[in-house]
Amino acid sequence: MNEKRGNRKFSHCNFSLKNRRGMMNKSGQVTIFIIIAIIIVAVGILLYSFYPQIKTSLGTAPQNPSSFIQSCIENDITNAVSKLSSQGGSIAPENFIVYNNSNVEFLCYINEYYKNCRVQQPMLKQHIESQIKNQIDKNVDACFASMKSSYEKQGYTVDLKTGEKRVELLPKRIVSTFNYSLTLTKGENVQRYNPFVVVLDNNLYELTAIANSILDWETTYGDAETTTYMTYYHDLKVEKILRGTEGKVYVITDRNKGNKFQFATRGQIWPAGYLAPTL
Amino acid sequence: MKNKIFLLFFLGIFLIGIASAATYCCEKTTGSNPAYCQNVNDKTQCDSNFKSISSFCETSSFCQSGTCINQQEGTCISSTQTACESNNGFWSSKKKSELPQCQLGCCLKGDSASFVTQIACTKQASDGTATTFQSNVNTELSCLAMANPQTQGACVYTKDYVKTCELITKKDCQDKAKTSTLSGVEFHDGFLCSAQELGTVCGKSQKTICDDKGNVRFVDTCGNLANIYDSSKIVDENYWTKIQTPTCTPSNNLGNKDSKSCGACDYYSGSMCKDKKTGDAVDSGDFLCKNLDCTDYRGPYGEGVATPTNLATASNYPKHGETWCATSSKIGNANSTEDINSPGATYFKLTCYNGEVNTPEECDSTRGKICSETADKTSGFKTANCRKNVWEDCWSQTKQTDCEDISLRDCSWKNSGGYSFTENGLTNTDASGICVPKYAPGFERTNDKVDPNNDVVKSCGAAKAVCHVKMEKAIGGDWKCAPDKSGIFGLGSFKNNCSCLDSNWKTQMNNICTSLGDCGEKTNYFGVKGYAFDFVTTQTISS
Repeated sequence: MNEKRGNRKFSHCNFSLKNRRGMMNKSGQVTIFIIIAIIIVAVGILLYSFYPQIKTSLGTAPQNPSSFIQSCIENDITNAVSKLSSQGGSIAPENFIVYNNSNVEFLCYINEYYKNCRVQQPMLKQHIESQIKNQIDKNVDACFASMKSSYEKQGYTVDLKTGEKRVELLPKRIVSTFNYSLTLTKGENVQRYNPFVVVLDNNLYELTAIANSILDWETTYGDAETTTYMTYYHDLKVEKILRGTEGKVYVITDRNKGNKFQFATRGQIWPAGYLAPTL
Repeated sequence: MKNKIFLLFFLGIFLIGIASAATYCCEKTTGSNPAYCQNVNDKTQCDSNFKSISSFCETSSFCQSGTCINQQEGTCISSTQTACESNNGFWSSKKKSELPQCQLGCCLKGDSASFVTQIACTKQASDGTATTFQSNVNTELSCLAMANPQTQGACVYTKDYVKTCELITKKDCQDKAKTSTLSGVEFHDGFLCSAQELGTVCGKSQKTICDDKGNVRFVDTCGNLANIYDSSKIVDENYWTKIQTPTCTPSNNLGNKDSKSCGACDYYSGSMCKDKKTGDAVDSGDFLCKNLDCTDYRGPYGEGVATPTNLATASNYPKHGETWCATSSKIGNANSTEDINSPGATYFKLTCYNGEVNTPEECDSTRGKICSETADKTSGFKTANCRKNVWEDCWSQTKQTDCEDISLRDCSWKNSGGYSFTENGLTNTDASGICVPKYAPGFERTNDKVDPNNDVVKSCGAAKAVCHVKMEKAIGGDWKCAPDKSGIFGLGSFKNNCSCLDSNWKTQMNNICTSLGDCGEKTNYFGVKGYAFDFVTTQTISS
């Protein structure tokens, strides 16, 4: 019964539409709808791809400079973190193993058989921080320049003093601090901003701490037991993927946030047979 | 003089010999795998911008092993001096256990605990939250178990003429009284905000939420946490008045897995608070103690080492926290070690955690390590580990008890028809049996080829057996095996090896051969039979 009523309603609606548009035939309508749909999709893609730039050139920059910098640099930080998390903490690894199309850096390595590996990156946290900083360095300056020009277009007198850039891995977050000083003056209104802080919700700090613990086990015992970590830390997934005599890859994943950190080790490699080949 | 020339000549050869076999320690190597502190044979492999020395790294000063201390973070890791100092770490030649600043203890901060050094603990207090370091706690598990929420209670206050409440600690409530403009701030230790006697706007609700301990908790109408979810107490006034421990755990469902009515979850029993999904049922709210067992898994799982045909079922699936063994071999069965050691087969350790089976962990690509599994007699809970395959000295065991001593080696005793290993291969010595690897080691394969010079490959030759058979032919007849002769008083007696002509002999010798490794006629892990050839050759040595 309900279905019938529905059908009747639909046919009525269709009939009234025809009346309003006169003689417009069906194929014409379809063409117009397709064109409109294409335009909407194209505009959507353009906005998605060039949003910060469009915002700037249209002079519709957000009033708050901190938000401007956050939206301008956040993607770069996210991309840098994502890349180095899958590559053992380095943007361009030198000594690596290829796993799932990623060059995964050896954080502990030995070229010999039977021996435990030697840690290659004992200051992992600091190394990652410097890698992120180097990766975003140029874009930070570009973002500040873009923000300056945006405010100048809006009639502000802008005084921008550059300063130190710092990236820190902290519990549950990555904090990038730009000690830049911005003064906006318009008439008698003077606004000062310093420093600029961009916070990324990411637990790379925790994942690198687990990685360090695994490295410690690798250097001491030649292997690490992954289930121990999953027993202690309920939201953690730790996987070990053996790659023959090439070494092994550890993948640490936060089940809740999906953040991942993977790195490689090579130690305690045993050749098939009795004796190891020479070096 | 002539003698001296000879001496120098030999000495020269000797020194050249030493030089060509020298080992160099590179502070950093070059090439495709640049790394700190590696021993190499060729000095050109050392990065010329770094130090190198003609000795092993273990004895060099710059690659000496010690501890790298991250003074900012308070972390310590075993490292060489070079790797540490080139990354701005502080290096000590002492072991971690000898350095007081590297000793781990329990750092308590608010509700949480972490097993870190004292410096790291102090650093955790940088956000203003006080920390306590307990150096006498020396295991991570006991430390994490100390994470205990501080006593909470109802912090009642008036805001915008409305008497409301928050469930927080006494200290936070006192801070609230100092720093905010709220009026009538009072702390009621052990009370819930929904307690009627407090007279706040917060009341009972049917909503639930996951707390940071993984339990399902009721939330009151103000969004504050209340007691653990128990559907029988939704309207129980007493349960909404004071903080209480749950009483809804039935003995037959530890951890309240998938329970509709109780939210007291237990990670170690296999449950944790998660969102309600399609198919889940709860009496109230959107959360439940989700069963963390791998109920949907249908991969290898069974008694012993699971083959790809021993699959988990709807009634027999891995439990949360369980680890078990599997093999890639498609032939054989779980309880036999012979067939699952087929060429190419490897052992895996599988793990079920949080309802998910992790990527299988291969023990070793050539069965240098095997998977070993034990099961709890009562619960059947499996625990597996990859461990060394101790097969190397099987051949030298001549007694069955020594051969099958599992505390020393992984070997098995086989009936050999009197044959045993000798320098000339298998020889009939009237031995009672022969000791062979229980888990046949595999060959290294490079580009689908086996290196013929590999020791394991060569070791197949140990199963070479020669059997001399005297044949005789009567006039006009066929060749036949000459029968044994007893002779008279031992004179003229003759013992022939007619049994070698039986197909059983061939099978027996092949069994010994295949036990040694990827040797003899075998079917590979994928089920493809090896090249068929007659591995018994007959040669006439005299007529």
